[in-house]
Order: sequence, then structure tokens, then C-alpha cells
Amino acid sequence: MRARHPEIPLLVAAAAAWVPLAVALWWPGTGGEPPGAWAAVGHPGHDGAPTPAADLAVAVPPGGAGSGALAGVAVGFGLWTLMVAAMMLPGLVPAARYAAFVSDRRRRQRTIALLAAGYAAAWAPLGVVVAVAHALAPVLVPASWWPLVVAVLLVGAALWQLGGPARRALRACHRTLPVRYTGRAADRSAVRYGWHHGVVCLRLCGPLMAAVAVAGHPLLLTVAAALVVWSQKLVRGAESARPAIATGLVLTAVVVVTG
Amino acid sequence: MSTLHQVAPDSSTAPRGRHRTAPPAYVRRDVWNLQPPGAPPHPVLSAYAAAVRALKEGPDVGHLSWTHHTQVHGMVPDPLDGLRNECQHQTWYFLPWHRVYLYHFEAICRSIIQGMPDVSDEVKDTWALPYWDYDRGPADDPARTLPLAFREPVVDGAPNPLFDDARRPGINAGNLGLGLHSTTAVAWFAEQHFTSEHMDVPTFGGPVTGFMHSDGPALGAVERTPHGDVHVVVGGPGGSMFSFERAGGDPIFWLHHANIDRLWEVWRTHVGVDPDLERLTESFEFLDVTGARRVLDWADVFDTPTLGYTYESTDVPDSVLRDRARRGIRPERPAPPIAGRGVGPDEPGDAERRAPAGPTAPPEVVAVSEAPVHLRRHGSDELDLGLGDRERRQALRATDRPADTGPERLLLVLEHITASAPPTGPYAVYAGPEQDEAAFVGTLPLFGLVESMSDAASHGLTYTFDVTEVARELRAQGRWDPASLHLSFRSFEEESGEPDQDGGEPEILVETVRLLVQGDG
Repeated sequence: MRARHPEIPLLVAAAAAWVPLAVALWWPGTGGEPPGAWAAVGHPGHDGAPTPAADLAVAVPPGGAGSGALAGVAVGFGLWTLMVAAMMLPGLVPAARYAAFVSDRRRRQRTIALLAAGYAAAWAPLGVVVAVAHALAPVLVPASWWPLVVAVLLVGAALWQLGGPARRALRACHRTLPVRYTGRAADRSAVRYGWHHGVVCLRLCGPLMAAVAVAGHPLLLTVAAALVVWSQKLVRGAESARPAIATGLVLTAVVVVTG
Repeated sequence: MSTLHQVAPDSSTAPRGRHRTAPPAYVRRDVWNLQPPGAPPHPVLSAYAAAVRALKEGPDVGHLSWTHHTQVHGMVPDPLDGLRNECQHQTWYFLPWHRVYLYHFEAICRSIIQGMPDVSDEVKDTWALPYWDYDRGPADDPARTLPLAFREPVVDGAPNPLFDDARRPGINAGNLGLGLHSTTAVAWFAEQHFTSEHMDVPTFGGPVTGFMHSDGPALGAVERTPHGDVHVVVGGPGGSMFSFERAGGDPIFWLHHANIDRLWEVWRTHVGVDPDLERLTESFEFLDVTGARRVLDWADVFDTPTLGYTYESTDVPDSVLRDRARRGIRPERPAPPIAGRGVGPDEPGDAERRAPAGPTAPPEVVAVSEAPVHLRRHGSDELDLGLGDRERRQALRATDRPADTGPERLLLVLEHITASAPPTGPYAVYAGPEQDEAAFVGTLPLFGLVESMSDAASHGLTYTFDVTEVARELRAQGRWDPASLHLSFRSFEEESGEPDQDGGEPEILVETVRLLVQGDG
């Protein structure tokens, strides 16, 4: 099975990443409770008690300073990394299959692991920025404004989807790079291919992923964003769906603001 | 002078299925039959020249504009109007999109011609776009050179609208013809499948993709050769025909693509079947003869009689007959031509008779290059693809029987091709150090290479070859050691004897070469 489908461990890793993500964010009684995490205080209109960031309810980051803020950044970055693994790795399957099949049969999993590492590395800087912004946000932005911030980011992601850079990135998503057969050259080329692919995906999906993260990973928005990402990476003719995706994001922004 | 004729389709050529009633068919004729060497210009060609002149003197935009028809194929920046910069390459849309492109252009030319007072009624009633069949005769056959009407810069004291001074000089002068390797039908005529979901599998028409502009993952065999070769050899590195953006601006482009469209009919008549119509949902929008936007569905363009035209000849190409003779294959009794699409519930007989043979499973890589290959005008790199014991057994098994009947086939993929400047011509690929006919794999035309390197392209240029027959023949001659596959390359200059052009040599790299075996699942 794995000989013909070397991407299976990659998919298993992606599936596994959903588990802690779900426990941390959506499991009843656990949402927002980890120290410094993005406590889900619910949508405006709620009473402010910690609740899971379910549906489209935007999670407002807790305030904090000193070690609490640092812990918040660390946890936020951890959640970001889980989110990237859960949502983005399935879209890496075509690249992983290509890289695996041009590698020596005995090192296919190594090649895929290096590809994924390069890919994740490309996403890391945005994760740090989002986590830091999230930690500082309570100081800079009143809690009642938070849904508006998320809505603005969603509208920005919608506009980004319609622009030329995202269109070019969507096309470049499907481009392969040379991957060498064996040895150090194979290691380097796999990391390089993963990094390149990650940068392109960042150009395509970065604004959407940032909006989802800043919103505190509401369940529906997270799942919907994952479906968008997978369709853009895996479905033929995804370019024509960009207006529909943008429309969906704008409507989501309206719901976030108006409740 | 040849007789012009218009035919109504009879029962053997009328499409069946959804299109039982077809309009009268115009007949597209071979340009070299219209004007053989030494003959004066045929009225059909004179009328084409007049129509091209009218379009070139027409407005800047709209269906009566030469610029518009050029921009429909390629335009930078992309106007994003759904009409221009829409050419389809490296995809299964290549053939149908260009068919509709020519259909509208031809109708517009005919309408212009019908408004000309000095054109005979016979020409007005029957005019159809000619085609250029360059796969005729030996290497020195005149049909391999540019048709006469396109060579002279001035005719009767006025600029010749069919002349394009950006072509390769030897082409315009008529002393450089299209070589046998650049026009051969052997590869595409052997392909049983129009398309495939697997990107590494050679097909006749190109891989299944979304609707995209010139940046799919691989080319169909007919898109590679002769299509790409003719573009590059006629245009040269600076020529109109070399560029997506300018190709439609050379009047010979339309005769070249009429021939490619004809080759689709040749293939469909003699070899394969088109894809299942149920899968086809794409439509193509162009400005029609009235200037209005008009949409045609892909499923409606499979039969040329449905669109109102046929071809003077859909015989088996000369190069296929020559190849069969060289390999000692006796000519087969030709199968009755397929009328209609050859598939569908109302054509069970054709579907059964034409069920594509050969393997269908995803191919498996058995060898990969470890370093880039440099292509040069003289002294290109050579390459050895080493095979392990298991892979060697797979390769041997694939070459035990002919490609179209065996359970497996041997495939070669060349990808991640880049160039520092436009290449000067195609490169021939050989399996082995001896560069003879038995070892000839195919050509790398490199048409579209510049476009494929753009950051707006989703794929680089990739060529896929079925090398089963080549390996089988070399093995039979004791010239192939299955422990490795040796590849060598020969430039256009070395193949044609053309002198090197001035200026530096572009650095052309083939970053990845893969050998694959495709089984039957």
C-alpha cells in the first residue's frame, strides 16, 4: 500500500494534528482554558464566560503581560503550527507524491519528511507574527472591536483571493521543482522544494489562515477554510472558484460583525 | 487549375449521435495541391491574401481586426476579458480550443471574401482555409518548405499580406525545409488514448487539466510534434511563430493549425476515440462572424462536418507508412473510417471496435537523472539512466511486446527545462550514442519554453515519450543494455545543417529526466 501511496504517513500526520487542535479549541470545557491560550470569551452578546470558540463565534484573546504574554505567544505559535499541519499538509499530497516517486525507493519517507519540514518552515514566520499580534492585541484593541478586526481580515482575504498575486500563486502551487534521487543532493532538493511550495502557499492562503488564527479558530470557519485550501490545491479548475470563495469570505465577515 | 468543390456529407461522413443533420461541408485543401511548384497563385490563396490584407488594414479591436485575432492567442498583459490571451497548450483543451479559434477566423475571412467584387462566385461560395501538410515525401520534398504564396515580400508591386519578415530567413527564402523529425507522425499515430489523468503518460491530445492558458503539466504527442517543431523552425528564436503572443500574427499560423486540426481527424479516423462526452463541460467563447460573443461547447466541436467543413485528405501520414516499411511491417487493410465520435451509447459498434488498448495504470519511476543535462548547439551532454535489478526486469518486461499490445510500456519524461534565452531550434533525442532512425525517440521543440518560465505559469515545460518501441528495436539489434538507458541529443543546427546564428548560445538545461514503466494496474 505504502509503495503506491507514500503520502499516507503525511495524511496521518495531518489527521493527527486535528486531534490536539480540537481538544484545545472546541472540546467542551477545554476551550480557552490553557494558560495564556486564546481564551474563547465568545461572541459579543455572550456573558464573557470562557466557552469554546464554536461556530463562527470569534475568540477574543485574553489580556496579559510578562511571562503570561510569552506563554501566550508560545501557545499561539503551537496552535498555529498545528493548524498549518492539519489544514495545509493534505494539500501537499501531490508534491509529496511527486517527490517520493523521483526519490530512491528506500528513502521516500525521508524525502517526504524533508519536504514537509521545508514547507512548515516557510509558514513559521507568519505564525510568529500572528501569535505576537494576538498576544499584544488586548492591549491595543478593545475587546468589543475584535469581531471588527476579524471581519476586516476576512474581507482582506477575500480581496486577496481576487487579485493577480493570488492567481499567480494558485498556478504556481502546482509547479514541481527538481528533486534529486539520493544522497545530500536529494535532501537539499526536497527541503528546497518544500520551502518553495510553502512560500507559494503562503502567498495564496496566508491572509485566509491569518484571519482564521486571529479569529481564534472558530470551528466552522476553520473547517470551511480547510475545505477552501484543499480545493485550491487538489481540485482541477480551482481558479474559477475564486469569486465564490471571496463572496463566502465577505459573507462570513458580515456574520462575524452582525452576529 | 484545381477545381473548387463543395460537398454535402453523405451517409458515411455525416456525424451520428446527437448531430444527424449536418450543414453542407466546406473542404479545406492542401496548400501545396492548390499551388504546386511553378504554378501561379490559386484563387483560394489570393482570396486568403485579400482577407488578411483587409483584416490588417482593419480596426485595432473587434472581429475585423488582425490584432484582435493575434491577441486571442496571446496577449501581455492579460486583458482578462475572456476573449484574448486564451490559447490552450499543454492540456487536453489544445485541440478543441484551436479548432474553434480557426472555425471563427475562417468564417470571418469567408465573410470578407464574399464581400469582395473581384472574387469569383465559385470562390465566394466554397472558400475554406487551406492547410499545410508538411509530412509529405522525403526530406527534400517541396511540400516541406514554406508555401510559395507566403515567401515574397512584394506581390504585384504591393506588400504581400501573407509575408512575415520575422520568420527564419531560410524558411522565407524557401531553402530550409521542415525536417523529417520535425514533422513525423509516428509518435502521435501510435497513441491509443486522447487523454489521461496521469500527467506522465503520453497521449494524443494532452493530459486532463482545468481550462488554463498555456501552462499545463505536459503536452499531447501531436502538440509536441509536428505542432511545436513547426512553430519553432518556421519562426526561429525571434520570429512571430515562436511566441504565443505573436504567433497568430503570421498568416502561415492558420494553415499550420488547420493541418494540426486535420491530424486530429486523421487520428480519430484511423486510431483512437475521443474522450467520453459526459466528462466534457468546458465551452469556448470567441467573437463570431457578426462580431458578437459566441459560445461553443466542447462536445459540439468533435466532428468537423458538424461545424461545416471536411478535409481534402485524412489518409495515413507518409511518415507512418515510411516507418512501417523501415520496420518491415506489412501495410494493414485500412479500417473503415469512424463517422461520429466513436463513443457513446448510439455507437456501440465503433466503441467496441475502437476501445483503446494498452496499459492504463499510473506509471512507476524506474530511473531518475542525478544532474541537469546541458543542451548545446554542438556537443550536448549525454546521459545514462541506471536501472537496478528490479527496475531492469520491469523495463525488460515492458519491451517484450509492442507498445500497443503489450501489458506494459516504457516511458521517458524530460522536465524542468529552462533556458537563459530563446532556443534556436528543436533538439532531437536519441536512445544511445548512435543517432540513427532506430534510436530516434522524438524531439524537444521547446515551443512555449519562454512562457513556461513565467511566474504566471503553473508548470514548466515537460515532454513525455513512449520509448517502448525504440527500446524493443534496439534490444532486438543488440544495441540496448537494460542495465541503463543512454540518451544523447542533437541540436537543430546539427540536424538541419543550418549555420549557427550570431550571438551567444543560450544555456538550456533539462533538470530532470525520468524513466517510467506503465503497467495495466
